[in-house]
Amino acid sequence: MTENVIECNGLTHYYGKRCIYENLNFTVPKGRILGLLGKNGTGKTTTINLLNGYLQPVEGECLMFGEKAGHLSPGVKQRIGLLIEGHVQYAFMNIEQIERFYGAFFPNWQREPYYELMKKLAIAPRQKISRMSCGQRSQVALGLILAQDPDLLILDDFSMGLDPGYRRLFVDYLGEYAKAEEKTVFVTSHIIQDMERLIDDCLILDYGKILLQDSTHSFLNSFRRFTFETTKDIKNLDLPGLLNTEVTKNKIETYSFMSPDQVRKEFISANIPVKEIKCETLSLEEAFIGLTGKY
Amino acid sequence: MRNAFPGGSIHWINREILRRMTKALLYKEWLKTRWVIYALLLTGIVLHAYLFIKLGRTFRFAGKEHLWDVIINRNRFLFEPVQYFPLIAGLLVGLAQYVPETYQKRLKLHLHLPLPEKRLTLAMNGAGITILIGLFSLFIGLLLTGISVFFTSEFVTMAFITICPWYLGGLTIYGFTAWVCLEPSWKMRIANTLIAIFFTYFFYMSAAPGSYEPTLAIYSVATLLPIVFIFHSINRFKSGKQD
Repeated sequence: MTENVIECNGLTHYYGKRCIYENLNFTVPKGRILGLLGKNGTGKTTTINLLNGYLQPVEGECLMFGEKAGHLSPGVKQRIGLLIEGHVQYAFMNIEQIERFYGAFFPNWQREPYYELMKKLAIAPRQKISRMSCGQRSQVALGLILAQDPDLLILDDFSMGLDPGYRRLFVDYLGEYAKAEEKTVFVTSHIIQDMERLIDDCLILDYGKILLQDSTHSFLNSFRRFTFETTKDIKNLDLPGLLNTEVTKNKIETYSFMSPDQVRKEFISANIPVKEIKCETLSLEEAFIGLTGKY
Repeated sequence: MRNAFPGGSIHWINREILRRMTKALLYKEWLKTRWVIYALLLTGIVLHAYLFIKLGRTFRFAGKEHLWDVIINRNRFLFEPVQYFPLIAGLLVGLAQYVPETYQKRLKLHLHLPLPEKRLTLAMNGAGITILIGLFSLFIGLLLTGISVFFTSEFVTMAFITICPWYLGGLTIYGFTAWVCLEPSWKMRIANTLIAIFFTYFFYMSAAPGSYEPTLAIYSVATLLPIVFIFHSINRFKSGKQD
């Protein structure tokens, strides 16, 4: 049986009266890379805070390596590499001091790859992290996580502040590293095009609920965009199984998990004549927008 | 070794690893506080040098009798300017340690370190208290040694009793600074600050020689109080309390 590294059961959380989500259940099996996607304010960072015990859920529980979040033993903490949103690190240290500091806490600490990465940054060894650019700070934070060599990597908005080249390099490296070393990764990012190259599974949150929990491959194979013209004058269209439908004059654009034939049948049964239906497979970013809507 | 804590228990920990981790924690505290320590050392030396130069001048020009008159008949303590030095020292060391931890919620990084949370908190707090005790011992020693050159041993004892609450107040304000900084909600921070000011005021009510002598034991115990409050702030931080 596959070991679940992360297990969240019946997670419910509110900020005051505002429901973030109710009864959220998910697992992350060992060796998988799960991307948590959602618009701003849907609860991505909240979930990461709940996982790490920096927030108590109203109901439910999170387990990591079988231990309850908020009560993780030092042994389990050693196995978790945490990247906090904004690549927050001890900015009063320089790259040598921070390496020396963290190196004492982790038995598998690998200083060589860390310094290899730091060489590429072209920064003075004694330059404080607070005096670095946002991108350089991000790379220091990511370098520290990789030096820790944890079994589980929790990366909150890892791509923030990284330039496109380094983002691509990091995503490719992380993907290969995770697969080769059987690492488990739980990741959020605003740049969804990066996630497509990286994640095995996706969990898409909307305000107060889960929209989708599936493997990325299965999601992208089953979710499509349909565009077509109609002769009928339609203002609003709300048919079952069709999502985020937009009508512009006589052109209709909609998204669905249904096959083209099923979509056609829906329109016929709604007495809407359609011309040729164009069906497109989507990138993860397009599929995300199709599922969650543009606004 | 794959895991320094098989079974997740601190009891399994290798002494050498624990020593290395504790050293790293202290290293972090040193990096945060070293400039404040240097500044306090310099300020304290300058302050005490000034006091003794002034005392020496008075001794030479006004005479011993005048000094005794000031001390005995006017009930004045000659080293009043040191009164707020420990208060400022406690505040500055506290701010130097805890502001970098709370800015951008960096406390999450600290609490994620692979040691029991109580130990992590006590190590940070203990480092600050040790720094202050070190600084305070140095300056108390300096002051009392200097006083013993000019005055009798009774006066030295009285001087110690007089300055003791001020230095205890320095430790207390340090604890309160930690309590206020670690508190996650701004509303509670303001409330905590008011409580801290009210409580610390009692340590600085009087500069009259020996005025705190009957209550010194109570003040010593009260100094420990904020340490309990720090754990309360950390628990609130962990449960995600915010405005």
